[in-house]
Amino acid sequence: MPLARPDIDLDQMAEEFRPKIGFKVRRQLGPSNPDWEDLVNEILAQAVDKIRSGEFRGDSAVGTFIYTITIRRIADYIRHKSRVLRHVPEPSTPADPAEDAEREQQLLRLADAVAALAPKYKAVLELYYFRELSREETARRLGISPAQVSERTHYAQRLLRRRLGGDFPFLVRPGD
Amino acid sequence: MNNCLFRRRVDDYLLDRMSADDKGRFEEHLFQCGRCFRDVSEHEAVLAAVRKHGGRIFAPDARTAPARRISRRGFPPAWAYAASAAAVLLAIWIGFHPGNRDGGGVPLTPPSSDAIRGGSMEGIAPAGVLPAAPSALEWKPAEEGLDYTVSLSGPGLAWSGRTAAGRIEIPPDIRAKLVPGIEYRWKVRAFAPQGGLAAVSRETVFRIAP
Repeated sequence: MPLARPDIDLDQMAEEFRPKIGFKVRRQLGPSNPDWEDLVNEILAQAVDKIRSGEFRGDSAVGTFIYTITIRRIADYIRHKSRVLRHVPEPSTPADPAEDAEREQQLLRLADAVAALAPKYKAVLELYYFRELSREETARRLGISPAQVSERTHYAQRLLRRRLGGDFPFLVRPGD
Repeated sequence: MNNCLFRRRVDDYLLDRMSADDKGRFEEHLFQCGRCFRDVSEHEAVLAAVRKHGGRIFAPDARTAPARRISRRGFPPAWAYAASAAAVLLAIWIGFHPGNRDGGGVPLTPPSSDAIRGGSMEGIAPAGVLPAAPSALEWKPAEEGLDYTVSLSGPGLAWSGRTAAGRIEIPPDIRAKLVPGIEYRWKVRAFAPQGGLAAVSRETVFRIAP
């Protein structure tokens, strides 16, 4: 009979992995899918059960173990959904207006902060993010190296975090 | 400071410039590395803001905002007029110099709206609810002599192809992966012969009827 790993704090594990699972689920199913939160809870519950029952023996990292559960559950969801939808058309789910408004406010404030960045950071964000040029093409147009393109996007990110941290919960993580 | 080797792939991941294998490895890494996950979350937010409001952020009047601040403080000094005149002359030179029309420096012509970056282009079909899996993607070309990169994505599916025409066939193996009831999105980017981005279409959404 396998034993549960006593060194894993399940509460801490849930706190650490909930946003990561949520990120992967939303990215895979689309941000407006109404089932995403339920799916995240199911995945977490499944991970906790498997750790408690000793099914996770520590042969891989906890992150890899939970990632595997996540992608399998997402695949199951898509398979199940496509079976169900073949027989019964799904009614469209209206978006949550309050959530949409809050998200829009956050994006607006973030956009204003981007607009206030120094020109050399704005130029990189315009070519690389907005016009979606390749890193090499962006570098060529700005007369810098491709590595500097990445460095400037990362540094712009740091500046934005510094300026907006308090106003942007999704930009502030524990340990910042 | 995040010194992780995966850090330099954050934008490749968010901009869909990774193979499916690399994407899987990167996502698995995100489950193990808090710093890379934070970087991805933050870059994703900035990317979303720039994609949605880039038309305003990078518009020419946004670029000249500091000049407006000078005039609000009172009568501007003589050097402000000289600087403004120089800026106008520089803008005219940049606009008319043939070497600056494609690929010479930061493009100063702004996109016309928030939703459409570069020039505008329209996806024609498929869109909306379809009776069966579509065999091709079709759009209204921006102008002649451009290369088009088309991307089609949805849950568990990511495909892109290139063509010089206003239509591209969806390969049979990709077509077979389209699941009824699931929403798929496609988008076209037009590139000039020198490689510069000329136009981007809005995302067009379709779904096969169950």
